[in-house]
Amino acid sequence: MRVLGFLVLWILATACLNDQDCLITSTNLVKIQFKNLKNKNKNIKLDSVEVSGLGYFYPTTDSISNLALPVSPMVNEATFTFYYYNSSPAVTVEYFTQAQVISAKCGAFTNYIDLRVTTTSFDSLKIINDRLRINQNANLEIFIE
Amino acid sequence: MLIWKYLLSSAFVLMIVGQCAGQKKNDPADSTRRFQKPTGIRLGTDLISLGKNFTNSSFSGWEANADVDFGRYYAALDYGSWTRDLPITNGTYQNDGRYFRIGADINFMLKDPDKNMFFIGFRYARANFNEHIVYQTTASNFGDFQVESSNIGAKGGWVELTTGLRVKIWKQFWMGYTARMKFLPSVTGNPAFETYEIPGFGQTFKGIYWGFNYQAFWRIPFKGSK
Repeated sequence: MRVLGFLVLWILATACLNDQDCLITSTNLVKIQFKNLKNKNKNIKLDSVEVSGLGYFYPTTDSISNLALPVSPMVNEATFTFYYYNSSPAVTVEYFTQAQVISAKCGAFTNYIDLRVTTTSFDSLKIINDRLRINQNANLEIFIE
Repeated sequence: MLIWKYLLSSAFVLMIVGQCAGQKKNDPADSTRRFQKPTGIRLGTDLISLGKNFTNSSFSGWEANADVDFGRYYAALDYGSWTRDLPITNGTYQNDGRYFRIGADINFMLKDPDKNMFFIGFRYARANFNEHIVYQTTASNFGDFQVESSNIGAKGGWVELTTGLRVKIWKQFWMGYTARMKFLPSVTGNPAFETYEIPGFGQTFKGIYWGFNYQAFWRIPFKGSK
């Protein structure tokens, strides 16, 4: 009987929820983490990174183990080419954009979902999170010797 | 599959409740509890839906209701239209669709000579609708841009538990209300558009949603019935 009472209260409480919070966690930045073959973070010195449709980025720090690269909201594919140590491996990703309304007050925004790698010249990499969000560590791990 | 499980379990619970409510010890089979030949059909409309056309500038719609008695059991069918033209902070959202509900009610006022009813029931509902959105947004390194997206031919479904009253006001004119607990919303449509509202249900992010209808009915008796 207590369980039933609790269930009724829970249903009543959840049914009275108002609009969602205006909390937008979506981003168009793919977070990339470099790792060594022992699965530890690896610092590398990048000369530059080319993002298809945008041109070149020049990381300002000497050595980095992670970076965030933008993807276009207009297309569903991006290629990142990394220039370092006289080599230029690349990775091409596909993703899906999804329109979502939060509420009249909060408006609408775009989700970037179903991230996947289509081609790459890296030896090994792994998708960790296929949805691009502000508060997450990495979407893509790239393993380098 | 989950919806059917809920429907079956809801129907089972209603049957048990219907059989047990008001049962007396050593009471011989009570004819008011059995299925009986239908005596008439009630056709009506939801006054709240009609009123929202005047009070809510973003909504236009209507809902028609019908039920047929089989003794204390009523078969119920609702059909509605729902159009939303909602200004949002960074654009506009539009939704246009139709929906229906089908289900049954059990009347707990068995001895009332006017057949007034207090009922509990369930509904299974489906909606067909189109959504469209235009909004301004921004993306890192790509600046501000406009997005236009549609969800054409989307289909939704949900389940309801209902309760309410029907009271005979004058001759064949009836009024009443129906309170609805709507749950288990599901949508199939364009994956590039996350559905905001299902016509007849409301906002999809609310897994459970309350609805309320205030209805007016006209009853048409069948031939040979009162």
